[in-house]
Amino acid sequence: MRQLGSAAILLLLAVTVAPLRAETRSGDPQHGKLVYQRYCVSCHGRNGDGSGDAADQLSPRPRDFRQGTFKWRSTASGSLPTVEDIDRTLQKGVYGTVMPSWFVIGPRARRDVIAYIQLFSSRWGKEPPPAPLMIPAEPPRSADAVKRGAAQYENLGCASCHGETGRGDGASAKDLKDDWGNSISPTDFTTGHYKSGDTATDLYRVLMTGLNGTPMPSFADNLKPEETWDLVDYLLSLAPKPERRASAR
Amino acid sequence: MDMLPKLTGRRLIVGALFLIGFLLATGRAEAVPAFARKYGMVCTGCHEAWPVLNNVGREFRDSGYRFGLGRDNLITTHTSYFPLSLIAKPHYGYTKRTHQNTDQGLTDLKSGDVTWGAASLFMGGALTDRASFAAYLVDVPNLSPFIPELWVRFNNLMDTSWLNFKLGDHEPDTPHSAIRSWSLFGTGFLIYGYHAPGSASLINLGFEKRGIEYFGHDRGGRNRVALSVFSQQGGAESAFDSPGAYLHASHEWVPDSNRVSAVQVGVFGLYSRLPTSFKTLSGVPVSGTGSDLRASSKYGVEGHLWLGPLATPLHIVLVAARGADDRDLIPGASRAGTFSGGFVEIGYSPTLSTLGFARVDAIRNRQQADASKEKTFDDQDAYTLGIRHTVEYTYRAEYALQAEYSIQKIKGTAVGGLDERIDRGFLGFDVAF
Repeated sequence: MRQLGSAAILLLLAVTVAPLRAETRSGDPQHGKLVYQRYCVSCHGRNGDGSGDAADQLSPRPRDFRQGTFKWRSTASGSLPTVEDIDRTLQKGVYGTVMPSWFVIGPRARRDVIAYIQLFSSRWGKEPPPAPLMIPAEPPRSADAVKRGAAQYENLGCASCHGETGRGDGASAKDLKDDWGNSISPTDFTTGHYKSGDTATDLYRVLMTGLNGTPMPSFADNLKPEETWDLVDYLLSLAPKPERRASAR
Repeated sequence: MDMLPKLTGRRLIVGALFLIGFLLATGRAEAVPAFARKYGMVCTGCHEAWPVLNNVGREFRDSGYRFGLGRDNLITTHTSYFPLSLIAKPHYGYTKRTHQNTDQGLTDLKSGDVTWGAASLFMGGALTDRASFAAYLVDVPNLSPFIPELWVRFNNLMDTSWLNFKLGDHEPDTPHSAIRSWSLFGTGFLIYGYHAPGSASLINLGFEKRGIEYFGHDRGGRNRVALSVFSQQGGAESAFDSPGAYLHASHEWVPDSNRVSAVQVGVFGLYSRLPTSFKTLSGVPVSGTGSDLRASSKYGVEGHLWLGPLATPLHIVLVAARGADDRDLIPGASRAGTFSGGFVEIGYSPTLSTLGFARVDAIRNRQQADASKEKTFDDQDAYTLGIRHTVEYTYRAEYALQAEYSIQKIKGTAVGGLDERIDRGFLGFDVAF
C-alpha cells in the first residue's frame, strides 16, 4: 500500500504541476501526423490521396486532400475552408458515411491533424486565408416562409437533382459525379439528416457556399439572406420531425 | 541448498528470456476486427494500444457499438459483411508456484506449455440504432467452451444518451478493464476480485456479470455513469432477493494541450448481500434456497492521466479501494474482515505499433476476520511487466508479438504458513482477424 500511496502522490503531483502553460494556438503538423496515422490513414491514405487500404470498400470515397477541395466550408465557392470549417466537420462527422465524429479526441489533436492535412495541398501556402461567410440571425419560422421557400426550390431548379419531393431522386440524380469522377447522390431531405450538419445554420451555409468538388453550386448570387432562410425552412419542413430540426438551431 | 548457486544462474537466464518476451494464458483480449472492417478503420483508431480502448473506442462502446451517423445498422452494411472476429494468442506460457504440498514434502510446482490460450469468437454490433448486441464464445484449453458475454443493449431511450440498458452477461464498467487489458497472462487487477480470507463471496468485478446494466453518458463520454444489478452465486429465493449492485461514475477532461492530453477521475462501489445458509439435499446446499443474507462491499477511486500527445500517450492509471466482508460470510470468523488495495499501471506507446507497460498491485488486510491470524495473512503484491510490438495492423486484421512476466507474492498462505510466490511468463502472439 505504501507503493500505491507513493504512486498516488506522484500522480497528483504530475497533474497539479504539469506544465500546462499556454501552448501555441496553431496546430502542430508533427503531432498532427501521429493523429492522422492513428485515426485517418486507413481511409484517407498515407499521402492524403483518399486511397487508404479501406477506400475501395467505402461509398462515398474518402476525401482526397491534395487538391485542397473541401465540401463543407464557410468560405466562397472554390475557396479553401477555414480551420474552423474543417474542425466543424471533424467534430460532427459526416452523416451517412463512415466518417465518425472526432469530437472526443479534443481540440488540440484536431487542430494538429488539420495542420498536417494542410500540408497535403500547396494551396494552403499560396492562397490568402479565406474570409468566412457572415451568417445573419435566423428569422422566426412560419408557414409563409416555408411556402416562399418552396417557390425558391422550384425557381432554382433544385428538383432536377433533389427531386420534386426532396427525396434526392431528381431526373439527373443518377448521372451526378464529383470532380474525381465518382458517382454521388443528392441529399435526401426527407431523412432529416444532412452531411453538412442537421441545423438550419448548416443548411444556410451550404446554400451560400456550395459544395466544392460536386455539382452543388453556391446560390450566394441568386438568393438574398431572407430568401435563403425561407429555402432552409422549406428544406427542414421536408424532414419527418421538422419541429425537432428547428429546436436544434 | 547445494544446488542453489547453479539454479540461480539458470533462473536468471530464464528470467531474462521471459523479460524479453511475455505473457497471457487465460485472459481475454477484446479487440474486434469486425468493427474495423465495418468502418474501414485501423485498430489504432479505437485502441490506445490494442486491446485497451482509447477515448474514441470507449465512446463507440459506450454508444452500443455505434458511431451514430446512419451507418451502424447491419442493414446499411454490405451484404457480404458479417460481424464476426476470431481472437487467439498462440504462445508459450510458463507458471511456477512455490511451497506447494506433495506427498514427498514441499516443492515448487512448474509448468510450461505452448497453447492457444483463450481463443475467442466474437459477434456483435448494432442491430438497429436502438438495439445492439454482443456475444463471445471462448475456448480455453482443458475447459469446455463457454460464453462469458452475451447481451442485448437498448440505446438512447427517449432520445437521450443518458438512458441505455444492457441485459445479459456483461462486463461491469470497471475503472480499468481487466478483460480488455494489455496483460495477456499475468497476474493483476487483484482488488477487483479480492475478498477477506475465507469469505464465501466470489464476486470479481473483473469478470462478466449476469444482470442489467444502466448506462448514461454525455457527448464524448466526458461524464459517464454505470449501474449494474446482477444475480448472486447461490442465490436466495429469487435472483432479485439477493442482487449485487455495482456503480461507477467518472469525469474526463481533455485539455487543449499536448503535454497533458487527458485526465479522468472516478468513483466506484460494489454492494452485495449473499446467503449464508441453505436448505440441503443429502447435506449438499440446494441452489436458490439461500437465506440469512450478509453484506460484502467494496468502494474506491480511480485516476487516469494521459501525458504527451493523445496519439502516443503515456497513460498512468491508479485504482485504489477498500472492502469488507461480513463475519458470517467467513467460517470461524469472530469479526468482519476488511482490506484495502489497488493498482498502478503505466502504459507507454512511443509509436503506434509499440507498447511498454507495467503494473503494480497491492492488497493489504486491515482486519483479519479470524483474530488469531497474522494481520498480514494473505496480503498480496503483484508486479507485471510487458512489451508488445504490433507487427502488422490493417483495418481487417492485426497480429502482435508480446512478452510479459509477472510475479505475485502472497503472505502466509502456503503450507506451514510460508509465503507463496507465483511467477508467470508469456511469450507469443496476439492475433485477431
